Amino acid sequence: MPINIRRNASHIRVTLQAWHTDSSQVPVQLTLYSAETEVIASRWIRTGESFVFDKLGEGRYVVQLKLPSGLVMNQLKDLDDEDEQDIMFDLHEISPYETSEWSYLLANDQPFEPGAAVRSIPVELRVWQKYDRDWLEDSYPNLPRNITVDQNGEFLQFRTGERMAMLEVSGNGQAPKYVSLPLDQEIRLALQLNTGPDAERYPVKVTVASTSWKAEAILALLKTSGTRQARQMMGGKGGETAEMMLLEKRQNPTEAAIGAYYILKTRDYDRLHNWANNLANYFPWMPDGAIIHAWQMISQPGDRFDRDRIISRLTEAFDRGLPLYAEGLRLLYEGMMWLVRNIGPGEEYIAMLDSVREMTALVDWEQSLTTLNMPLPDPERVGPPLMKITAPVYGGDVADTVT
Amino acid sequence: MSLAFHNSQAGPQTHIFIIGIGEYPHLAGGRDAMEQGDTQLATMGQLTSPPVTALKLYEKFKEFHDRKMWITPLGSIRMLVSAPPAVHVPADLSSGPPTMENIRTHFRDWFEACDTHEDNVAIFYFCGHGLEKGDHFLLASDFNDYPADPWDKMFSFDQTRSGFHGCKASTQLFFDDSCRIMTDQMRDYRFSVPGLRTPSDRNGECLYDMTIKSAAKNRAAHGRKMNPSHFAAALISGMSGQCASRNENQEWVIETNLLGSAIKDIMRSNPATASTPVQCPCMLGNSKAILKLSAAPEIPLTVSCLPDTALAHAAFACSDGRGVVADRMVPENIPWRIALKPGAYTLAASFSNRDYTNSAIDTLVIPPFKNEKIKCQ
Repeated sequence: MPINIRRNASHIRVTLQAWHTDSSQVPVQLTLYSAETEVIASRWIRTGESFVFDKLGEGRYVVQLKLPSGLVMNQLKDLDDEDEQDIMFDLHEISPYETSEWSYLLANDQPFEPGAAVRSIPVELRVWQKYDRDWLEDSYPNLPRNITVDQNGEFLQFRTGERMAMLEVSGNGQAPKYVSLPLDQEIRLALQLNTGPDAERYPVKVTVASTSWKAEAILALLKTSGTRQARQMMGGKGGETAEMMLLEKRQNPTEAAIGAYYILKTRDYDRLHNWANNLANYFPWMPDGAIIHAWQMISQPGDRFDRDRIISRLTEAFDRGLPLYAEGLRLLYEGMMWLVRNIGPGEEYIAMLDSVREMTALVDWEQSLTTLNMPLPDPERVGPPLMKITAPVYGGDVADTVT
Repeated sequence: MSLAFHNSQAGPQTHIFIIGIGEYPHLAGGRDAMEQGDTQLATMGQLTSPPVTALKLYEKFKEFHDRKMWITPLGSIRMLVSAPPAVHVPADLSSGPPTMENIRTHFRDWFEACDTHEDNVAIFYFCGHGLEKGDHFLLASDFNDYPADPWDKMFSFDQTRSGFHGCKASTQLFFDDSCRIMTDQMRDYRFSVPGLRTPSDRNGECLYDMTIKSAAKNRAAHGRKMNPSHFAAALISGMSGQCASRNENQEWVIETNLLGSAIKDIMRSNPATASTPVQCPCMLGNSKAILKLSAAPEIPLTVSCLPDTALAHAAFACSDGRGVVADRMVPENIPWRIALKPGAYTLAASFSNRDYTNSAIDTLVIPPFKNEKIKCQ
């Protein structure tokens, strides 16, 4: 402990204020630091709740609020002996609308900056659902076909069905993006002006989340920090929580897939039981279950290794199409390489590997949900690419190139 | 086989393999340049940044050893470096030219060194020319020695990475610092380029993995001539302290998972690299501390004013709970840049010009850097 802190009755009460019920479901991390940035205490709470850091002595403290998106807010407090201080973090400040708070909690690591230059971009939204091996256009109530996105962004809510679906975001000459949509869920969609390095090609940033807020927070933490933070968020019981998510797969297969990916990452394979197999069987339209089961068989020490079953799961996953999550596509690619190595360079398997490879060329690895960034507008294209496309080619940078 | 650094001890160790290729004898400007029909390959020539990058990385990794920063002690550094005449490479550092054969031989030795203990840390860094079609191909120095079919003097990074998961070392860091461009003629080829290690049938993934590519698909990697690449500079800043975090014992450490996000943040904060999308894993796994700092790192702090016009009239002071730790009393029309130990500070801007208001804000300076704007109106 730093020498300027004497333990006595002083305390800091921290309150988190959010304006939308969605936001209040997302867990956030509070950390109390000394002035020298030593960690005194850390706690995960939900917005709308308050928490008291007590038994503190005289000194300067920093309370840090860290959101699963990586966005950080800090407040400093100087405490006297037997002092009581209040701190409030107002999450309303980080977002232009109440309904958009969730996107700053889960995805945007920079707060909204009012006063940005006014511009607006017309956007076309189309929904594609998977039927066998084809994508067919469909629609969801509450999801408009055309919308204009300005500096404040647009935030929509709709419900998806039980089929694999992708949202196409295009229009106005911009290259289309295809984003996987969680199955049978209440969906929150954020469309915001892209200020990142690829803004010229993709002027609109797309963020999608289900209302399984805990699962979404786990996904966000796996993207920004890794398994340790996710485990802390789950009260140190990451394995148990992920196991429960997988157990309840019939109620929510996308949540079950997130739980299973977490378990694969932590290599706590026993918690997968036979449930990855069941996930693959119960939801034959979702590739992620088959991929997870294949990797359980490849990776788990002991007698689960079953060469023929792995081959059938991987080919099944390929037939099912694009996985819901980017991690699934990465594992499918690794799995296809495994397949080619193990059963020889047969034309069919090499073609499958090539097809998955072409998908990895399009995927945005920054996103948790599988998101395909098409290189150019293509009026001929109807729907998301299937697992057989020609690799796009476009020029790289030329200035200051060294390698 | 001579190594740039060798310190074999019992128990787990950190083993590093650095490849920095600047001299490509058979490419444009090389001493045995061969005519190349692929017009884009024909424009690829000699590089000064990769050997400088390799030497700088060696210097830093050795410095970390001298300062006893490696948590798993440094066991070896293998280097294969080639450079055009403008860059001097000390003869005792490189184990020979980074030809395909040498790369393969040294990779095997490095793999075996890493495979001796499950708590070993393996670090791989490649800087040189790269191409991509499906897999990312890294070009050895003898690339294009047979221009009609130059492709056998390159290896697949992706296959190499997959194959290395079969190594016993549970912590594996792979840094791929090269372009990911496809030339026009590559479209006509169906490549089957092997890696340096064939993945085994029962490869799971290593427990602590950090694999980062400095460029996105179809994009180039960058660096200034005679300087380390931008990616390497960010990596060095990160490992030196800019991506430090405190462990449960309140010590400052460098963790594998934080390297990726810190490198991205550092590169985004630099106008020269802001548009370079670094590629990190989409889902991070377990994290491992690999370096421990002996003292709190110095964190860059940039202070400016809102509105921007106030900057030309502002005097700045930065204080902690005990008093002023830094100031800039004479106004300058550029942001105030200082480096501070992590901590809570108060930043004050004062003006002799009445158009602006004297103001102060509290801030927490923590890695990787802090940018603050003080509202002065």
